[in-house]
Amino acid sequence: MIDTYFITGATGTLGKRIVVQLLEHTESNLILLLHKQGRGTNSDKLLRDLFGINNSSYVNRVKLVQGDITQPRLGLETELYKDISACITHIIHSAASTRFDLSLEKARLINVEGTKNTLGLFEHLKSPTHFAFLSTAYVAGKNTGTIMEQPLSSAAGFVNTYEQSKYEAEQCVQKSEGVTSIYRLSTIIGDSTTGAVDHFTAPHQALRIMHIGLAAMVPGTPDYVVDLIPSDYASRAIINLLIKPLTFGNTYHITAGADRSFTLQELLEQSFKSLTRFDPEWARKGYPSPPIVSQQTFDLFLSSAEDAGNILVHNVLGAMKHFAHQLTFPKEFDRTNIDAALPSYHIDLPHISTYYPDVVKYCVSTKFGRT
Amino acid sequence: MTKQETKKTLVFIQKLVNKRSPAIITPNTLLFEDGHLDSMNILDVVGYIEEKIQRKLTDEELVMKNFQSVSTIERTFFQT
Repeated sequence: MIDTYFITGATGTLGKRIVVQLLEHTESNLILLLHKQGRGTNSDKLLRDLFGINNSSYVNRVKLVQGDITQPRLGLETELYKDISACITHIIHSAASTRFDLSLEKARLINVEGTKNTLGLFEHLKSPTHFAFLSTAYVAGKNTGTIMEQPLSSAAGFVNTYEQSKYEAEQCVQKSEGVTSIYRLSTIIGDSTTGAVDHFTAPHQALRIMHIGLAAMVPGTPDYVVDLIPSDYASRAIINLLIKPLTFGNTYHITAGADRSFTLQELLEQSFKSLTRFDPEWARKGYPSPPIVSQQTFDLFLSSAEDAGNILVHNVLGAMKHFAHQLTFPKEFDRTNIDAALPSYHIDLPHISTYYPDVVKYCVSTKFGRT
Repeated sequence: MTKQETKKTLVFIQKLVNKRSPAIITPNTLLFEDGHLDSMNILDVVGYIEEKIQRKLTDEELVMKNFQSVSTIERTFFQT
């Protein structure tokens, strides 16, 4: 029997890469859940535009369905839900809101209810083989020290609603009776070969704040390890975990680790150096590199920014409160499970210094995704 | 601002929104208040306007009420 993968979030940074790699490296059929309000139903055009898929044999293996993970039965018609339940064997749930500034209610609707509804489909399958959940390493929230690849405590609390809602979603997955895996991803920074960024997240926002000269200071400690991973590498690790039957049923940290990462001090220095190199106009403005300060000092700075009438200062610095505080909770991610499942994982992972300049160059040349 | 220019602004905002959600934006949709754009998107919107009008916005213009919706942006920055 040929495996059939049902994929949510297929149009996201990792979703797109997972789709292409499953088509290239397996014979599986794919059913992609696209949002009802999304891009229409012309599958040939969508596959070409979104995934760069022109190969007709690939196109024939992909079916598109339109739904909504926040709705019961994923917003699918009863008959369709029944039909696909009979053929799906694997589910990859990667759809999520990655915004840090949503209310807890909204974040829970997408990340927790969306996961429950997708698990509902898994429990309804005729031949359920594997449910893979794409999570974040920052479900660890405000915990510090070594974070293990296992269920975590929420007692320390969370920096933002994204962390909390993904933590709660993980709990739903852990309670499921089927075979499930949780892939906890570090922050994705860009492609290690081109520097291209699909989705601009916290580190890009921080770089952008530095670029417009508003990064007066950064909270944390100079030796904080900023764990960032390249998108191409993350998707390859996920695919390798997915297609290796022995690796089912576990939690994995897809992270970089201290020996492949910058410290906060190094990241600021390299950001400054790369901005100077790739944007001479920026260099001429002579912005100073931001100092690293305590959380208390940073909070004072943010509260004064919140009083500002100028919305650039108010909004942009206000956005920092949703992610910058994570820099004051140093942690390292244990990799026992992933090292056992993918022994070459760490050897193949490039040090961030080899591709970070390309990421900065991409950010500057696209005006941080605006062009 | 002509209808075509309003459409261009709508398309620009729609692209920003679609990076994160499938919501459909109309001229009167509350962009920030209803959460369609996040705080950082103000940089994209200000950059877009500055390119269109070919000057930097002043501190007086950089207030939230001028960026509530596409209609507000149009009235504030593009109508002569």
